[in-house]
Amino acid sequence: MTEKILLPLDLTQAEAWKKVIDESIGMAQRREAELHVLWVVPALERNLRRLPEDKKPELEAFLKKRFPADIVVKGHVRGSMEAPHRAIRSVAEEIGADLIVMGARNPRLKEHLMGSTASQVTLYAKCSVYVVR
Amino acid sequence: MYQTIAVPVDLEHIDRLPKALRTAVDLAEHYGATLHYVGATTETPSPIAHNPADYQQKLEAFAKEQADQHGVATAAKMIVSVDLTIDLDKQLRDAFEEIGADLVVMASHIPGVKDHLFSSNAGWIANYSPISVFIVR
Repeated sequence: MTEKILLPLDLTQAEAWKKVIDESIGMAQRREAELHVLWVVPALERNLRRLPEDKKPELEAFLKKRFPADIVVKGHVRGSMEAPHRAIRSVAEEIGADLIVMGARNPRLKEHLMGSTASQVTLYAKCSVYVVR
Repeated sequence: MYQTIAVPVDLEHIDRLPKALRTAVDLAEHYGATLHYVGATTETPSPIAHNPADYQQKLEAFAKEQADQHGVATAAKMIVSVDLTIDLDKQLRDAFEEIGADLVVMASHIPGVKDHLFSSNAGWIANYSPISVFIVR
């Protein structure tokens, strides 16, 4: 069975995740794995007519531009009302991910108190987690 | 991207860590990095070693075995602890800093006495440390 790698990404800050994107591409190539890119967006926006699915074309365009054609890349957009780590974990379980590759921001006060998204995923995910800094 | 990869190991349960060891070797090969196997022991005799010197020998032998098997550069780093259940987290962090690790590859659950390792240490690394971390499950 082909291995599946999940890459949670915030497209609004794609430049900040250059290293983790490159690393996930390298991993997918070496392991001949499928790469699933997940964008967790707010389920509700100020403009209520805009739905999470509307962001799919933007994600697809980004995937086409940023990822090489020699690996299988699939995009997922997930609207979430909760903390992103829950959405990341539930998508990981849905697709049966073997590995989650993700970036982590430098902790600020909030992260010291609550833990970062990466640490929440690390603690509770059922598959391997690779946090790239 | 990486030069020094730290791999915490439990010599007592080494046969239960094949996936983490394989992942570490894979990354070391790819980046041409050195694998530092970090093992912890107590001053008092344990099932694996009579004393720290004995443990150091065994850890070095293990590191050499991995190097010979996979053709990667390896090193051994021993931690001597009075009480593994209390001190290990901090001592591991200090060891990572001392060897200058830029990536840590570890099993999420090193079975046995050190069950607590993951809950506290991996969480801590993912949360606060400036280095990358690969938790293998």
